[in-house]
Amino acid sequence: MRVTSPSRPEPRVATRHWVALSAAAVAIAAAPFVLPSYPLALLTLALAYGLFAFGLDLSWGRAGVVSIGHAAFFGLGAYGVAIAGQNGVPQLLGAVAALVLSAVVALIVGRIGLGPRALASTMAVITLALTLLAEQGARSWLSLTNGSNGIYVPSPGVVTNFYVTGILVFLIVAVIWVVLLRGRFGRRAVAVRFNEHRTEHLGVSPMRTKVTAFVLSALVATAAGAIAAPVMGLVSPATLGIVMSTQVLVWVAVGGKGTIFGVFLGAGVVTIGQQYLGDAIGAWYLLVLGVVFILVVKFAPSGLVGIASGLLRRSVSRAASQGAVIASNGAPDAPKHIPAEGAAAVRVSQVQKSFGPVPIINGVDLTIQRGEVVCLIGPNGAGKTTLLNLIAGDLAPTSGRIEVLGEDVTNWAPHRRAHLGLGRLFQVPSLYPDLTPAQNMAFARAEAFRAVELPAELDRFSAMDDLLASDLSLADQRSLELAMAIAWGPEVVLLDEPAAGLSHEDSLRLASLMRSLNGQLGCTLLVVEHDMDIVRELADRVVVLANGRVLTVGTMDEVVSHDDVRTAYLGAV
Amino acid sequence: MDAVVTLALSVFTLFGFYALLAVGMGLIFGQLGVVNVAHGELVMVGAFVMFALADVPFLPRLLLAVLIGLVLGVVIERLVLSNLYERGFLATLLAMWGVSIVLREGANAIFGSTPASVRAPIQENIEILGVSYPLYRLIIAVVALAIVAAVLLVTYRTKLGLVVRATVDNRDMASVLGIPPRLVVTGTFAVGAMLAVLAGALQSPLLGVTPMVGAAFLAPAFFAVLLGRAGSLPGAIFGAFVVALLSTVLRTYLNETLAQVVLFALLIVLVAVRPNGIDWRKVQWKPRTQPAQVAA
Amino acid sequence: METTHAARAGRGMTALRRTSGIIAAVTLTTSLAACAGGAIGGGTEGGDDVFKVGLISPVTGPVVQEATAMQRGFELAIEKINAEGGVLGQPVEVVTVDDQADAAKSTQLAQRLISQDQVDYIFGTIPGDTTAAVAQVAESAKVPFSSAILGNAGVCGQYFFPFGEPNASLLNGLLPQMIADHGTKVALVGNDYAFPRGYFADARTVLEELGATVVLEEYSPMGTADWQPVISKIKAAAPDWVLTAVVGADATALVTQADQAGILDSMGFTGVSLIADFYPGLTDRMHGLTLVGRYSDQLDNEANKEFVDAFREAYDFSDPIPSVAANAYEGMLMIADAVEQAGSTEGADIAKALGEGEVENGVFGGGSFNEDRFFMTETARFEIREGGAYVPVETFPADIEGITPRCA
Repeated sequence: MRVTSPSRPEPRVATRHWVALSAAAVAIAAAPFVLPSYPLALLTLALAYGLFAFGLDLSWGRAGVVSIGHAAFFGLGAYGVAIAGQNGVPQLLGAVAALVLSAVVALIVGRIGLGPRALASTMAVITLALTLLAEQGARSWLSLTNGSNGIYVPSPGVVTNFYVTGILVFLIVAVIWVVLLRGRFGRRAVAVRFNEHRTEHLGVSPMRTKVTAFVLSALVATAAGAIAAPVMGLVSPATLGIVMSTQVLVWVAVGGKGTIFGVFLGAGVVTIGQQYLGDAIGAWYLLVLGVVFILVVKFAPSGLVGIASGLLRRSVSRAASQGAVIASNGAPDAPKHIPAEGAAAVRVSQVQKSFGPVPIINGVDLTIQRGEVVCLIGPNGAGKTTLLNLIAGDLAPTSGRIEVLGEDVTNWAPHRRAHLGLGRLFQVPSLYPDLTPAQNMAFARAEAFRAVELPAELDRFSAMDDLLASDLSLADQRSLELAMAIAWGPEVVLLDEPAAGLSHEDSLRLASLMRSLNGQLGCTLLVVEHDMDIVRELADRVVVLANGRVLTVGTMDEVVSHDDVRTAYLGAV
Repeated sequence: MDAVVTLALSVFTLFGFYALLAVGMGLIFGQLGVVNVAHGELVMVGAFVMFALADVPFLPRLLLAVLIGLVLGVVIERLVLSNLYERGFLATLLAMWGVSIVLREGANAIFGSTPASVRAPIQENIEILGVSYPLYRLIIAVVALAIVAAVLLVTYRTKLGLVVRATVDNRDMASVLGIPPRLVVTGTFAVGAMLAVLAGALQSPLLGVTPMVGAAFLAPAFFAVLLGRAGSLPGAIFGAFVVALLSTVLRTYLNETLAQVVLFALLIVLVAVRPNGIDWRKVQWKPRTQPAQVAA
Repeated sequence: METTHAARAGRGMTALRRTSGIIAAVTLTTSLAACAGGAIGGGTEGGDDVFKVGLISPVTGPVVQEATAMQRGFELAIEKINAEGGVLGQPVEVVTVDDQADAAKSTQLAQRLISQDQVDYIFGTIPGDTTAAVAQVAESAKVPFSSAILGNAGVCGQYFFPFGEPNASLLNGLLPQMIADHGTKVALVGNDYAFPRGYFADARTVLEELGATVVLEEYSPMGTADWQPVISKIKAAAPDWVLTAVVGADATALVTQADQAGILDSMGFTGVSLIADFYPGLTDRMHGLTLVGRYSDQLDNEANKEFVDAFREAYDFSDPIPSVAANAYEGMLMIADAVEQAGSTEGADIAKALGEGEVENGVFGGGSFNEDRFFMTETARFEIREGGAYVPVETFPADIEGITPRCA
């Protein structure tokens, strides 16, 4: 029962893209016939630098991973070619060796800088240290790099240089664009950048996506360095250094991150413009450059391309997805994970959780069978949300064991748990606010655990493509989150106060919707809820949590009549 | 023995300078979330102030440098940074990068690039445990550390510090309490910038003063701030100590080029092992931000 | 349906935006082309006999100071040449470009000067790597190229004529004197780039021949501000004297901090860190120290007097005049003479004439290129006195013995 998205899926390469690609190809083919040799040489350099900027943009613009030492990778490629040439080894071999080394270094740096314990600043420190280390290394390792004098790389001539550079850059960009940016990687990168947390609970590892982006970005930068080496003519330690690293940040920021045209424009305008500006106003041009740069950062945050596209009307959805294709026929016909026969949906044993010395969850045992609807109630501070977080993997328990669908997931990351079919909704709806509702749905479907038929009431979002999710009312955001979570096809769903802020009628409608989801799709639901009417409507069983312990378990009526529950809610009178 | 004493004195003097840099940068980073990549250029400004006003006696000249630092800080914050904070740390980082170019090229236009120097007010050497050491270096290290201590005291032990910290945690709440957050933000940046200018002024008699001189100070300050626990001021100072110690010890016992390579490699390893920052105690300004959705 | 419409309209607009972007790019491309033809098919006009020189002067970036001095010396030479009737009967034309001390730019600019501006000669650039980059381009195009600052550039070529001081000429007079005055234990302290390494390699060769020992050899990164660890090492090594190759702001910082640590009083101290370029930042700290070099504005000859007067007047300059300015001045005058001798602006003819040419009564006295393409002049030991007077106290003949030629 494959479900197709109602809106027509966007092709990977649309007509307008063919137009742009062929125009670029024609421009590259024609440039040497139009341009005199010096502007052509500058253009060649700008193209190679543009590829470098494109590389940085793959991590910064697409996945939000900042590297302030990216020239280390660029220089590695340039040195690979230069050192190979100097020692009579084919340059291609040098480039390949550099690419391999670069991938290894980027993988290590990415794992450290983007790992679970890393802060936003960790990546900044490591990449800065990396570029400084590389520059110093190139300066001191005389036998390999010829120190500060650098290594000469012969040029095959301006026109040959241009065509080799142009064709390679064109191919690399086109292939990466078609295969990755318009594919699964592009979609996931956008999702991770917009909402890491939501993406994680849809079964996509943010760290893996970001590390992939960083490694890819390092590889492209290395390729750019290898291509640029004969154009630069001389590869010296500055090629790997901090100045070059900041230059590329400037190109991307000035041109406009997240756009291919933007990064090439940024590299081109700064590289070529610098030369002509320098000729025109002499030594003052750096000062002017500084001022212009501040103005761009302050008044044109999305760069030159941002200014241009701001003047032209674009459809909301096209602007939102930033060139990624969100929709995909991703949902498998069979669920990605089949739980063992007789496995409980969730089994929590002897789980404790303390923040510092304060215990929040104090030895909880709880089993939820597949297909059940269980409501979790309790006074404020009872630890309800904490318990959901422990099950979903947002928090690690201090001690105890958590099983989901028969697997011991105690030490698993949230996205791994999601892979078992565990869906999650939050107290404050967690969506992709900068995508349209239809794109939110499309992403959930693209990453789906299994294909499901959505009730019409939830499916209405799939066609809503002309506003952003952030423009929806709170109630609609809540419904959208539920729609996404269900469209994703979960086995077990954790919900945190889904009815908060809804009118009484709406809450009851929601409750009956959830019951029908449970009936039609067989989803197991674990719901934290305050509204007793909803609990009564919804729950097969009610679990009362107080002071981090399970107080009692039973039907609504049993629970309500329990003395301890009254005491817990009303306080010891 | 002499070697150990000299090493200890070198670490101490460098620590004083780096601590002053790190506390300014840490203040700006911890409070405003701005990675001040123009910190080195502010140091350069301080050194040039001391050079340009060479006719004024040393102490009043220092005061003038402080004043100029404050004014410069206010101007930069108001003209460049205001309204940029919401756009995240990269926007402010890039803007400060632009500021660093403007300051550097401005100095180049005014003073040219010939290295200038500033006369130290004290030329004597002092005998410490049998080692002769320039007195001026020791004095500025002590002065720098005293200023660092004062900044810490004000931040953690006074009402003013509370206000500053409160503003960062919750701007709306602070404005309800009658504190204009804009003033606090501008003031914080101005003080951070002033500390850098002052550091440059104090250090100027040891330097060859050129528009480029600031570049050398950015990396150590940056590493110091980010090695410490994020947003923590004592962490930044501890980071400054680690950087000063590592750099001096490595440069004393290894040759200069190897020392640099080992230093950068060690910093990468340190960050890899302790990505949350090295800190000898758990002083934190801001709790580690949990994603909002998870908050109970 | 509403949404579909919006989406379709949007798609149209996006396509339009892209198309307009491409049009803009094409327009930019075309406008860059200006009136000249393309790199393919663009004809090159035949050369007339105007002598055209391309000056690469990195007056922005990290070597502004040296570049400015060089450009000033160069321009004075051009003025003098043109005032005296030019070369081959026509005024010399100059195309000045700025490579910002960035080797990638130097390569591009050298190519531009040759192919677009059709210069007959390239002069300038400062750092070793940009010099190497330009030298390679010039060599393959058979256009002669001169640097004004590097005597031992580490580059070889038929068309490369460096006017800088060869290391040997800075060392030969200096080292025996220092050993005699201070002793045989020497510390070498330099910045970490090609020139100090080459300079110290040559110094070691001479020192070892003279029976001295090197007790310390350090290369600190450019931009080092804290010299305390190096000073501690110097003190620990206890040399009789220190030979420096620390430059720029680092030189000022090193000499200042060494002075504060008492090193300037307790041991000998000489080398490149004392050259006239760095005098303004150090002044009386340097007084009484000596070094060996080719040039000082105190050299007592007619040509130098004329140069110094012109320089001080043209640029309102009161500090000691850096030798790179004199090298550029004398170098350009010599090049003009060589073109005149050759009677042609062909690269090969100029190169031949330069190789055989000889300066008489120049600012350094005499000078010529030897077989290894070192520009040899007399050198002098200068004592630094009040007001930045680098007073020659002893002169040495052009001598290069004991040091391996640069091109093996």
